[in-house]
Amino acid sequence: MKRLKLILLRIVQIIPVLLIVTMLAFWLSNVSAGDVANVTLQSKGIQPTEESLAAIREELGLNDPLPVQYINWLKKACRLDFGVSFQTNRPVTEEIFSRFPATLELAISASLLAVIFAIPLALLATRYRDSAPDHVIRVMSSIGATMPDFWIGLMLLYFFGVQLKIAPIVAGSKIQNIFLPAFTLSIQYAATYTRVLRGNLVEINRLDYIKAARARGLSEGGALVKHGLKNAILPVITLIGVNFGKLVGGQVAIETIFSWNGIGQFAISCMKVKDLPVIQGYIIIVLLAYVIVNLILDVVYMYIDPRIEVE
Amino acid sequence: MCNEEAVLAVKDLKTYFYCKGRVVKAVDGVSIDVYKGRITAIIGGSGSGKSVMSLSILNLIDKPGKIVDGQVLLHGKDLLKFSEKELRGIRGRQIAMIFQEPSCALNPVVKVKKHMYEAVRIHDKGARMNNLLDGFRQTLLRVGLSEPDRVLESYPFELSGGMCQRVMVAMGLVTNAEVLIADEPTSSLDLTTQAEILEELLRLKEEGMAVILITHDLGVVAQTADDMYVIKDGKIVESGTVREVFANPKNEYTRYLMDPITIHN
Amino acid sequence: MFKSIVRKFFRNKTAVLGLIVALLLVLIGIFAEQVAPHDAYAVDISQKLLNPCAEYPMGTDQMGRCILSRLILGTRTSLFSAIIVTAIILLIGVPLGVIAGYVGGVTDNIIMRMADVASTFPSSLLALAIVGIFGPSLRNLVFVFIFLWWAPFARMVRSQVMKIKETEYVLAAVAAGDSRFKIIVRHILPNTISSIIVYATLRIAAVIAHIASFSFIGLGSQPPTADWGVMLNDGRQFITSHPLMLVWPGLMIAIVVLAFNSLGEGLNDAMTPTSEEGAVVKETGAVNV
Repeated sequence: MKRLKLILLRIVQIIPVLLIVTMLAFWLSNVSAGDVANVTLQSKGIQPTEESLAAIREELGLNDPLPVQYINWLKKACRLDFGVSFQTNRPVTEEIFSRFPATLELAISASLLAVIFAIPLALLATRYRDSAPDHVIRVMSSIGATMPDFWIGLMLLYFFGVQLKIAPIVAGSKIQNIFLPAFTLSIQYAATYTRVLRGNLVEINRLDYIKAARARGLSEGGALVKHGLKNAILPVITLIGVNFGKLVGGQVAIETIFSWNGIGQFAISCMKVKDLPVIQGYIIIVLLAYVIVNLILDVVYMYIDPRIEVE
Repeated sequence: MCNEEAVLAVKDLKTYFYCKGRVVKAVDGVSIDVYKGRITAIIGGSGSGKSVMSLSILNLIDKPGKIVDGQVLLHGKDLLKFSEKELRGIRGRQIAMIFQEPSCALNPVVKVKKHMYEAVRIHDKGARMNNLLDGFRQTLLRVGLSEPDRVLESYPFELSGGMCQRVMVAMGLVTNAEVLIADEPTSSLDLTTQAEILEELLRLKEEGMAVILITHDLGVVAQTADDMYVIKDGKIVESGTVREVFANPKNEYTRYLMDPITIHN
Repeated sequence: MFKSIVRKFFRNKTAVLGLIVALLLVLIGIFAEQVAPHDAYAVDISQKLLNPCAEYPMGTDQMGRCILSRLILGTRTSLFSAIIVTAIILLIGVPLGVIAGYVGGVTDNIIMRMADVASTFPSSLLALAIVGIFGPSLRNLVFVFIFLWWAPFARMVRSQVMKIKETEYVLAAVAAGDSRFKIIVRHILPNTISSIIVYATLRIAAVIAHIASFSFIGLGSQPPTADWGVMLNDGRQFITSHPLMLVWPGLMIAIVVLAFNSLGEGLNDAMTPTSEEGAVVKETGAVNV
């Protein structure tokens, strides 16, 4: 019951943020859009004249006061109707959702890879803390966390695509090509998770229950895995979720480098031509995805950590 | 003190800590004997080395600490010469340990039944939870937990300190440990619970367990222990049966520790 | 106190190396024209896509421009915009953080809710949107970063101030009847300064990486500006024939980011008294757009 209440509370808390963001999204495009009518016309290939401008203003409701325009826009936005893309003349939602799976695949694989790398590395670093493996892992993660991912991507593409010729240079978003972009994206996250996880594990390792578990006959590594990991990983899960939320928004640079047809790459191409409906739709949909991911995360968190219920 | 052969004998144990070029001799040549069916108390102030000694018995000293010399003989076999793997077979199964802060010694996000199951399973890979639960209930009842089913399903943070300590004791019992090291088992508990846990230790002793009771509290020693060692700065300054030492404390430090009691008497 | 920090810092070799490299880069940025062997903008198609040679140590790009000179000019572009962004978020974040932390109550609430909104956006999302709407330029990008990053700064300062506010010497000053302003300037700011310096140093690294990343996807500096991100984007189509065009700018970004990061972490370690990990949350220069 308490869990349900907490979840409801979270949802209520999100509403104002969503409202503010929708206003911003709406307002932002209106700031640059003294020329909404103009742009719309041009996108339809009509020469903007006084008349046609007036007509399109009427059609788009641009003569209404801004709040009215906002409400109308918001009503449509709630049904995920953001109009049609100037560029392709297809509904924005359709355009975005058709590319969403590709982005999602990338986000999931990158997050998974990051965790798969981070857990053993952090365990290793903790088990051999302050000796060689720890130092090596520390330096590696320090570099990994700071290198710009798009450059790593370019170098990997060069190495595997040009030198070794085992990866296509222009890949396209086919699942068999996902490893390189996912790996590239995962590096900095893996590095961050390793550092955080190691920090937590070292803290927990000092606690009595690890010592007690070892006094019961578990090995140091075993005690770390069985009793340390679960507690150490809880704070990391928040981090994973937040980053996953970001990844869901699309990775423009990586998607571009690996010619991965996700929403990031699409959004950027629309932004270059001021395709306003797409930009608005993109902002709202990505933000929604971000919020939903975080909400799911809160729920997951509650079930993993039994202590939350009593608090 | 006792004519029987010691279950556990510590001989001339030295555990040093190396920090920033300095050497801290936490345990510096300690010898003690622990007998079946008796409670052996190790008494000392904080920083006297008593806790380091108890961890040394299980060879659980982490860097920067190191056991530099001595023997820990369990039935005459030197544990310090055991490999890590052999040691793990001893820890928990033959020598169990309970800690000062019972709620910290149990993983807050792991249920009690899983803790107990783990205690058994470490030493018996074939153990199955379902076959063990009955035994767990019996053991929990034996250590004075009247609602074993509820306790088994609880997370440690849902239990009181005293209940956690009983669970810790129970975990030593399910593996039939011969020696129980109790490191300040009562000092974080309230007075009533303290008395109950001490009762528990006495009962275990009656059942033939060898108990090492580490404490700073001579009152606790007077109530429960049979033999006692007074440790100061990593060295044993006085030893003997509780009766002997209390009747005739030779060392100044022991007298100092006893002061409140002698006044009381 | 100060001496011991300096001593501790100079014992840390990576940090000192970071400091040296960072200083060197700032100097290169200031004297870019003087240091550069060629005019970074001089197009000479007859000299295009040369491999490294005596005349052009790093070769030339597709327009025949000297890559080394463009890298050197690029140092100015990215370092200076990063320093400007960091300076402005300092100017916004520190006062707001101090006010929120010291005054508390409704003021604190308003400032923190504002900060919440600024940090609810996934940073890349807002950057893409604003730059997309107002047109791609380095200036717009700088605005985005300022809008996004004053908030974590203010939060950090606020939590520090709240801690210091409860210390006895501040309480004593309050009891002695010192004015709020005097207490803030005399007692609170000096005690937050170390965290602020650390945070700012790490932030510079992050901004540099972000600027490069956005310029790379075409939302930051525009060609023909000498900017590492732009250069990487230029080099992309020559990945098979002239991979070195991709190596140089990337190396520069990596070096700058690593230098400022190790400098920041070194400062952090030197300034936090005992703990193993520093007190300031470690911000990394990680970018994802």
